[in-house]
Amino acid sequence: MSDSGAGMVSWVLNGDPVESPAGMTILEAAKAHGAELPHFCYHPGLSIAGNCRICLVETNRSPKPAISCSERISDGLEVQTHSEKAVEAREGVMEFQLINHPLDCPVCDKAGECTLQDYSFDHGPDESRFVEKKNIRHTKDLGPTIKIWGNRCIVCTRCIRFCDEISGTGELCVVARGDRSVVDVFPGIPIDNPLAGNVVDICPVGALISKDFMFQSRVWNNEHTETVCGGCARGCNVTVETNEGFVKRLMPRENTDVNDWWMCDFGRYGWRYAHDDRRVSVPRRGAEAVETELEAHRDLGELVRGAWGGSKKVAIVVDPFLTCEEAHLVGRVAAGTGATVGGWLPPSGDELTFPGKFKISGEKCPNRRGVEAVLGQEVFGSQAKAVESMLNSGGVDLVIVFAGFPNADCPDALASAVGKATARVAFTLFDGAWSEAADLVLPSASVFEKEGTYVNEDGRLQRVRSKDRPGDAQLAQPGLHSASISSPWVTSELVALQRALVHVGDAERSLSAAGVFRQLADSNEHFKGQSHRGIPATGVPLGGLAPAGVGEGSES
Amino acid sequence: MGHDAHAEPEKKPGKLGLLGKAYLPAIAQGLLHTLGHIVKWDHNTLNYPDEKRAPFPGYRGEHRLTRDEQGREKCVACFMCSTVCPAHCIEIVAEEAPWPDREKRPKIFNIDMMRCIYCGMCEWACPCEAIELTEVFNIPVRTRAEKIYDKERLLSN
Amino acid sequence: MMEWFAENPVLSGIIKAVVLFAVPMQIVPGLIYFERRICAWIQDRKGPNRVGPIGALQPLADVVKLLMKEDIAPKGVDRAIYVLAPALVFIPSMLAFAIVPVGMDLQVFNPNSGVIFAITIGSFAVYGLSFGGWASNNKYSLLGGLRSSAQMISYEAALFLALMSALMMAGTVDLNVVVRDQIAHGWNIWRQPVGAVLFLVASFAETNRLPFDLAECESELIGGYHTEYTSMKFAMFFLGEYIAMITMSALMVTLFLGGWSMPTFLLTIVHDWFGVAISFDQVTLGTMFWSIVFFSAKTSALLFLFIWVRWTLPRFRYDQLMRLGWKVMIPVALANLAITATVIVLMED
Repeated sequence: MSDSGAGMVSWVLNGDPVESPAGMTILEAAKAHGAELPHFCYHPGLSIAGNCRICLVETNRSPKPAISCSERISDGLEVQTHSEKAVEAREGVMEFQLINHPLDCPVCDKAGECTLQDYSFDHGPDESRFVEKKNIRHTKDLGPTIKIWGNRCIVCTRCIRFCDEISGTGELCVVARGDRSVVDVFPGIPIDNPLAGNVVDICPVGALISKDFMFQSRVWNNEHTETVCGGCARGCNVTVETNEGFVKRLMPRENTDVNDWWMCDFGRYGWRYAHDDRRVSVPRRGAEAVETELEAHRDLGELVRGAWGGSKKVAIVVDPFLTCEEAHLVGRVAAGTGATVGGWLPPSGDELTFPGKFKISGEKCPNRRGVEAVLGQEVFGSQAKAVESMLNSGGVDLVIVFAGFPNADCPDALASAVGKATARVAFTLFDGAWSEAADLVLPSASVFEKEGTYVNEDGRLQRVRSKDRPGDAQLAQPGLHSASISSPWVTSELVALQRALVHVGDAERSLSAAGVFRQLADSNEHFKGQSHRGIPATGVPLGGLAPAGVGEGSES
Repeated sequence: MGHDAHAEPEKKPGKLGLLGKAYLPAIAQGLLHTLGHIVKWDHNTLNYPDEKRAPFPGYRGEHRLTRDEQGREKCVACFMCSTVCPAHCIEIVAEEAPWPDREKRPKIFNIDMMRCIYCGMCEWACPCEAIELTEVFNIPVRTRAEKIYDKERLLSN
Repeated sequence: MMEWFAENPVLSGIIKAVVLFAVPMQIVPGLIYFERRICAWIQDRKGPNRVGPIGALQPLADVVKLLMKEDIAPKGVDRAIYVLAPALVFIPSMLAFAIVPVGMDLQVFNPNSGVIFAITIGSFAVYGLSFGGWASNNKYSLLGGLRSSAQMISYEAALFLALMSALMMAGTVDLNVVVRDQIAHGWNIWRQPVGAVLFLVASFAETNRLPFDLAECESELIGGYHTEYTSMKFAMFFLGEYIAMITMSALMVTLFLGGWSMPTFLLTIVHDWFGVAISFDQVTLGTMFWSIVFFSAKTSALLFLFIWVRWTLPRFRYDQLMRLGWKVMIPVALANLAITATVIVLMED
């Protein structure tokens, strides 16, 4: 066609002339035009293998059906996705795929999200003509977190390509030949790379199973919450799957700007702290539990009101786990009391970059950029030092500490400095040096219980959503996890701070996270024009915020 | 609107007349009908605890978990019954089975008999014929908790 | 005996009061039992048959149950009225029964006002129902109470007009005279058929029984005015309803069905079978006994009718009930009254 732009290819899909950029495969181009083709071995993040043959289509270029995931489109190509020949070819492939596949869907953890199940329903025969004995392949551990049910394997090699291309570790291979071929590890080398969990996600059948999730719940019972992983500053997009209020597993969510289709095992298996018995679940005055959370929040409000107007010396120590909204509320408390705000960072880890350009940040906190954007670029730098020396010099009337880090305690020096203040309030997940020094201890919400926004290390603003009320689980399924959340409902800092502000009289009423964000967007130039509703599922880059690397010097 | 061929001709109520409007004939008719039932003396009630009716085939009473020939529960904890249950009365927690020929088994299998509506869909859904409804229907208890049957109770039913 | 009663007014008053209280109270349990059995038979069931022989002790068990039940008063009730209401239903029906001659010249007391007293006192029951509905602090109770007051006031008018027609035939309000008039001239049901039907229908409405139980109306109002009542308070409402039923039946018998008398051909049958000659000309113990038997038999038949109708007819809609009361019964009763009066005057001439 004359109006074809440079690099555009005109081809015919199911009789309709269409155009697609040159170099696309038939499968991708057809998908872009709304024709979904079944596929096992094809994965958008991996190289093309073309070995499962379920994506066969009829073309005008060859008498045999073409493998649509590896054939590229070209001018004049005519593709029939649902012609008799194509459908028959796919049905034949499907029947062969199912020949040795066991009928163990009832005990298979993939059931419900299994592509083999779906395609068998769409394309497969309703009964098997195979009367011979199905062959048996191995069922064994491939690594500390992964198990293989060889019988279920259809040898699509997605997992092998993942280990070769994305993690670059290459632990997996196909062993044996013909219908006995199955995925295995090399002797003595288990699959234990930090991205190993992804092979379970990409396995189109139930062959690779995560031991963490094995038999924990059926996938169709899970509720899905699209949120962001709180493990590091990378801010991988994840889906938290919960059942009866319990987190069952974390699954990566596609976001080609952040994490592609992957996530690391630290994040994937790093949710158990949320259901830890030792979590601070009840507010306390010293060692004595406060009857209701409302009462504790009134205590906090009373302390803040006593210091309102700058009459007293107030210090606030923030952590990088606060959402932007919570940081904004901290800023309002600080502005009202004339407090000095400093922050502390958890110890940084190793930054890992994989051949597939997937990156694990060394900064083990999700929202340092966001807190900096709200409370000032130096909040974890020079201001932190200022707060510490202020506390050490004594005479501080009120200190409010946020310690929402799941795994680490604060630096001892800072903890002892906090202990010198007259009145001490600590928001914390676990008891530690912070809470021992505090005379009002309030439970922190974990990442899974927060509503708000995080800014990742690239300055990308992303939504964090809470799963349903965590405590509901306690009544529903006793004994499922050894540790269950003991409080019926952990109120996040967002609520506590707003109640304190209402108590002081600085706010008329408590708002939702979206409402607080609106205030933030009105008052902060970085967030100008943003709103919760306006943030797409994959996040939005914030204008004026430094991408990774800038501002490193301020780290203490 | 055109003629609707399917519309039935409108049935006109017959003229009632003054007596009919006073309902008296209809009332007398009704009274005679009920009197007929008294006179007929044909009672459908059974004197229940003394006389018992044999359950009809396919009667849906309390559940039973079946055992295989080795005495183990047949259930593989596939959650099909709890998924299909319209009353959400089946609670299952799965665990790894200790047997070589089986991968999964229920660690907890509770049925809340007070919530169950005895529809029998669990029996239909079960791929292993592991759950079935018995003809037992008359087990009274003193507390609600006793009516939540656990795995052992269901296996012995 | 009559003389003895006349000579000892205080003692006889006490005895009469005890009888007045005891007799209907003893009839009610039996009535409840029969109601349950008859309703069961109509529905092809067996009915209560486990307590005592053929279940005859079931009412006793029910009474024990009602007495043993926890007495709960909901929050926010108007305490005094709440407690008073059941008694206000129960007592008027009882008092109205006092003037009914259950045997030949045998009534607890015979005021000059005669049957007017019964109707006036009987009207007080409406206070009980509406107080119960009002005091319960429950919208369904209130609706039930409102309905019952509207219904009873409407039907009271028709009841009274129908009753007037019977009284006019005898020209007195003394019920014994009314009965004697019927012995002389034939039962009022033949002479006043329209009045009899109107009285019967209105008495169904006055006792709040189906097809006019709009005040209770389970399917719309849970239990109507007695929704919030438990234990003996509830039982009092129950008793009130049944005693009202007995009273209404007794009045109906006295006014329209010859009271304690019997037609001559039936008296002949009694004479043939039992060898007793009964004459209503003078009061003897034998006649008195037989008159009580006749009266009880007729009243029982009417009570059976009450029960029979309840388990046969469906409930009226409220607007139908009101239309029937105001647009049919009252005009017909008035017309009946006018015609009766005219005929009586013409015949006197």
